Formats: sequence, structure tokens, C-alpha cells
Amino acid sequence: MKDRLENLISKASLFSEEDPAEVAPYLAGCRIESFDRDELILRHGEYDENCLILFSGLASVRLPFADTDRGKLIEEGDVFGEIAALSGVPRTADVIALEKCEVAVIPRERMFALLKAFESVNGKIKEVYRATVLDDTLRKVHLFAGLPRELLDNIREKARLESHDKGEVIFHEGDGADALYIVLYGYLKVSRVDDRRERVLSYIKGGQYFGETALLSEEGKRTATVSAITRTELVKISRDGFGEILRANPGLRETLREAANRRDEHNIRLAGDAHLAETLRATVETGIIQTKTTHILNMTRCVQCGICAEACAQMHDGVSRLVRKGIRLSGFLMAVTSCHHCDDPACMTQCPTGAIIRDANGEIYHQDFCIGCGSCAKNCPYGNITVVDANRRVAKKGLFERLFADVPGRQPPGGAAMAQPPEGENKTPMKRKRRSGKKMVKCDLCRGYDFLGCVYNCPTGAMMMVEPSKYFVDIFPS
Amino acid sequence: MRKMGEVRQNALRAKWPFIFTAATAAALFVYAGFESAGMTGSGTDVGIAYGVVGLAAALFLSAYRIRRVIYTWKAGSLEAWRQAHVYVGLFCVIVVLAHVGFSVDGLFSWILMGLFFALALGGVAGSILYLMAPLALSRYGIEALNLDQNIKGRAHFLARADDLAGRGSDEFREYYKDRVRPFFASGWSALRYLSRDEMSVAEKCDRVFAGLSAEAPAEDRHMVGALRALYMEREKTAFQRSRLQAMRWWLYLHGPVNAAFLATLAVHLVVVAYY
Repeated sequence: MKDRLENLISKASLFSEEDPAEVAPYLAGCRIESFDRDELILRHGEYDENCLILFSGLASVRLPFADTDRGKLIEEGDVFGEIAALSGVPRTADVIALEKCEVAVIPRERMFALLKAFESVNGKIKEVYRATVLDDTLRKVHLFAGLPRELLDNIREKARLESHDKGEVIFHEGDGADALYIVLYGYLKVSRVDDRRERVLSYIKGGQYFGETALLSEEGKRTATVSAITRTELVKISRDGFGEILRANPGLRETLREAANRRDEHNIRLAGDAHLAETLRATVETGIIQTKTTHILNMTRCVQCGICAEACAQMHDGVSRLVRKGIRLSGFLMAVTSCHHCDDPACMTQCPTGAIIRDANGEIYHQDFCIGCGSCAKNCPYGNITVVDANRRVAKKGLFERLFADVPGRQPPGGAAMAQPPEGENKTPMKRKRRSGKKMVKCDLCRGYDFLGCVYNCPTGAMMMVEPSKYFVDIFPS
Repeated sequence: MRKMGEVRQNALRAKWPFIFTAATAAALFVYAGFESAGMTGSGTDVGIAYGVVGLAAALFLSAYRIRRVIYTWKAGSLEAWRQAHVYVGLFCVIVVLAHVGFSVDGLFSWILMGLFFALALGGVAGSILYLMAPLALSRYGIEALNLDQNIKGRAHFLARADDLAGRGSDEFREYYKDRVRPFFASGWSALRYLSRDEMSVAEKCDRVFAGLSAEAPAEDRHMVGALRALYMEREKTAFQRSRLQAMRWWLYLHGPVNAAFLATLAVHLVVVAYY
């Protein structure tokens, strides 16, 4: 293994300026995986935050939106998978083995340790990252379709990458327009102040662009405020760069004007419909829109029988992860307290032990070695993680008891199952002794079952599991 | 593997009325065909055939209770089961009438049919109740609903009102005791609130406090507003409680009637098999 590690370090251009003996300890925990010809090494859309180096063989990148294979080859010693590793987004492309390959997998935390320890590695990987995301962006945003190669190269050279934290304002209404922005990842809200009150107009997500309206207008002033509602990364193209794009593609001006008109129509509709406006405001302001999935409770159907919570409890050691209170989205829709599996999960990124992970589908769950420190519960912006006593389990109700002794609604609505196991229940020691004696529980989307207990067992269809960005499609402009 | 964000819905949600209509039409059509040949009624082959279908339907309808408590049973979503329960129940009425040839003779048959129709009518009433109750509750807005909490009792509101009034002057406390407290101490019966709609609850609250505010001592008049808000909360809670109680009562009624019907049906089957 030591020889292979030395071989890897010598092959990887990433480490060419560093002393192999110094780099080696950082790569000690890496594993080497083998792939056959035509086998997928990385799959577009999957959550996997490892960085990879091709140890041997040859691979190719395939973009999902490109008409033909991107054809960019990955050769021995090349680093790839850096976008997901650095930004935490799902894989942005497929990588296929063109021949039998061996790949060194560097876990995300090791990668960050390397970046911190070696300046040259940091510089190189950031450069690879910049080149890849700009290349991908210029290929997938329709604004740039059909532009000559030289112009694209020119734009790529001038473009800047910008990172913004949650809450940062990109520009204010009335500011001078100096650039066009393309969202790499993250979510932003567009708002305007009417009568001293902020009114949310829409939201913008990865792959979309904004700021062109002011660049096209004669006044050159921003017509709305745009601010980040999650950690966001943007590509900034200067006014000059945008001018070059318009000169190269004269029809684009008209297309953009039409899009702006459609947006105005949407804003007018929104202003006249308080219900729509309220739902939009709630989903964007609370960040629900950026969540992967959300349990929505339709109160016009909910008979408050509590079967959803009861089913959840019975399927999860007697403790329900579902609490039927939460963020009110509109007059009758509620995003109940249940894990949203966020795109940018604060619980996972700030877990001190790495016990919270995301699987390839994007589902976030606690691993068995969670020490119950409660950091995730504190960091969850929605209060969706609950602390329970790890050494106690609530007795599950037997079938006979449920069949003959239980009348839904007999207990206080939803009473039995809610959140905390009652004191004094029978004590079954957990297999693993936790330092704090606590255990963190949250919705794991019924991991291990092929249905969602609460949704599957709702007798009226009031409980739904939705992808907010799709479910609220009528509210948001495309 | 399950996809993220998959919205699970009952695929037959919109189709049940059509399935029910088609099945009912088919059952009546077949019955009419045999009726003209004089081959229908209890004891005939056609009657027995309808009886077998009815028995199967009755067993299926009873199985809903089992599905309700076996959360991991891969036999379809509970919503699909509930809809099937309602429509198969309605279909059962036609099948049972066809089984007896639209005429009932004998005391035992009358008891059995009486129980069956009590069950069927109760089912229709329950369906309406379960449709209307959430609509009425959600009209108040979600924030007013007491989900996942104990529904607070009358004593809770009375204690809070006493506490609030206790902070006022002696004069205000007297005024509270004579004029306001009786409203907080008044009846809490779910039956009383069942006949009210959400608007009448709000109107009652306004009516009660409109006059009271003017009578209160001037320096403590602001406290009347707080008491009004508390009383409104009490009334809303009582309104919710009445709807929830109604749904619970209905379940307490529907289950035992069903049990009685199944027991009578079992006797009927034994008698038929024996004779």
C-alpha cells in the first residue's frame, strides 16, 4: 500500500510541488477502487462528496445537458469530482471508465485538510474547480448557446466566481447595474419594498441567471433586491462581457425582453393574490424552497386522527420523528416538523463527529456512532431534530392493543407518539453506550422501508411528501 | 430504491365514483336480466351468488380496521383503503338488496337488514363528517389548531382568566367576578358547540365583550381586551374539540354496530349452511 501511495503522489499533478513525504500522511486513509471499462465512476445527480484522482487507466466526462459527450478526458494523475467535494452539491456530470481504471478516493475532510496544509494544492484545485464550473456553466445556460468558441473563451477568462453566505445581499433595488449573474448553486430571493414592506417576488436557484433586466434597460438601475437565502456561489459576468454576448447574438436581446415581460406579468398576478404571495413568501423566507423534500400537511383534509405520527412511532422504536406543527405556508398548508434533507444541511456540515451523512439519493441520516452531543439539533434552522434518551425505548403497542383498545383520536390529538419517549417506560439498553446518554432522532424518510410511514398511513391523503420546487410550480415563475 | 421527493398518491382517487357507478350498473343490469326470468330472491342461485359477493364485500370492509393498525402492511395506502371502504360499502347496499330480491321476510332478516342499513347510513354520515370537519377546522387558519397538543380544558382557560384578572385593581376583580368570569365558567359541552359554525363563535365573543368593555373600570379597561382574546381562544378550542369529539363518537358507534352486524351475519351463515 505504501508503494501505491507513493506512486499516486508522484503521478498526481496536484502534488507535483510538494514533498511526497509530507503529503503521504494526509492520503493514508484513502482507498483505491477499480472500475471496468464503460462502468460509471461518478453518476450525475448523486450525492457523494469525495474527491478523486485517477490512479490508472483513462476516463471521460459526460455532461447530462450536452448534445454530445463532452469528451473531456481524465488521464492518470488527474483530479476530478472536485465540484461536489468543494461545494457539497450533487455530482454535476457522469464520469465513465474508458478502460479498466483504478481511482484513489479522497474523503472530503481529508481533501479540506490537504487544502489547508498545502498552498499549492489549494491553488491548483481551485483553478481546476474554476475552469470546470465555468466550462459547465457556459455550456448549460441557454444564454450562451450558439456563441463562437473564441467569445466563450473570452467570457470565461473575464468571469469571476463569487461566494455569498446566507442573508448576504447581491445587489439592492436602485443600485447601478454592473454585471450579469449566473447561479452555480444555492438559492436567492428577489424582493421589492412596497409601502415599507418587503414583498418577495420570486426565487432563483442553481442554473438560472439574473441581473440582465437592468443591463438591458436605459436607466441601468436594479429593479429589485436580490439576496442569498442559502450559501450561494455565482458566476459574475461584467457589463462589457454581457455587451459582447449581445453583439454576438442579436436575437438574444428580444428573448430576454420577453422573459422580463413574463416576469412582470407574474409579479402583477402575485400582487393581486394574497394567498399566492403568502405561500411564496413563506416558502422562500423560511428556506423551505431549497429543501430536498418537505412533509406538507393539507389541513382541509386532516382529520387529526394522529395515525401518521402513530405509524412513525411504531416504525421507529416507539418514538415519532414527525411533529404536526411547523411553518405555515398558506391558509391551509403547513410544512410540518420533519427533516427537509436540505441542499445545504447545517446539521451535517457542522456535526463534530461526522456521524450525519447523506446517501447517494440525498437522504440525510444519523449513523450509529452519533454521540448525542446535540450540535445538529442546535444547528437545524427548522428545529427538526429531537433529542431522546438513548438508553430507553418506548414499548411498541401490540397488534391486539392497536386493533381493539385504540381508537384514533381518543388520546389528545396525535398524543401518544409525539417526540419524546415518556419517562418510566421499560428500559432496554441500546447496543452502544453513548457518552451523553442521548440520541438524536429525525425523519430518515423511513430508511429501510419502501414507503413513507406517515404518507402511506394517512387515511385522507392530507399528509404529502413533496419536492417544494416542483410542488409549488404554479407559484413560482419558471 | 425509492426516489427522493416522490409524492405518493392514491392512483384511483378520482376514479372511484366511476368504478362504483359501473359496478352498480352492472349488478342491477344482471339482476334485471334474471328478475324477468323469475330467478331472483333469497335462496335462488342468483340470490346466493349476490350473497357471496356481499359476504366478500363485508369481509373486505371489516379488513379496513386491520389495515388501519398494521402500518407496514404492503397492501396499498390507507387512503386507497379508505376510499375503497366507502365505495365498496355503498356498492354493498345494492348487492344485499339484490341478494334478498328487494324484499325482507322474518324477524331475523329484519334485524340483519336493520343492522346493515344502520351501518351503511352511519358510513355515509361518517364520510360527510370526515369531509366537513377538517374544512370547518381549517377555516380558522392553521395557527388556531391545537395539533399535537393536549386540547386545553375549560379549567385551564378559567385559571388563566383568573390569573389575568388578579393583576387588576380590587374594583376590576369585583367587576371580573360578577360580569366576565361566568362566561369563562360557562358550559363546555361538545354538543353545544357542534351546532355552531365558526362565525357564530366569533360573533358570540364580540357580543359578550362589546358591552363589558364599557362597564369595566377605566384604568383597567385594557385588561378586558386581553380577556377577550383569551375567551376567543377558549371558544375556538371548544369549537375544535366539538368536531374532534364528533369524529370520535362516530368511530365509537360505527365499530360496535359493525361488530353486531358481523355477529348476526355469522349466525345467518350458520343457519343457511345448516338448513
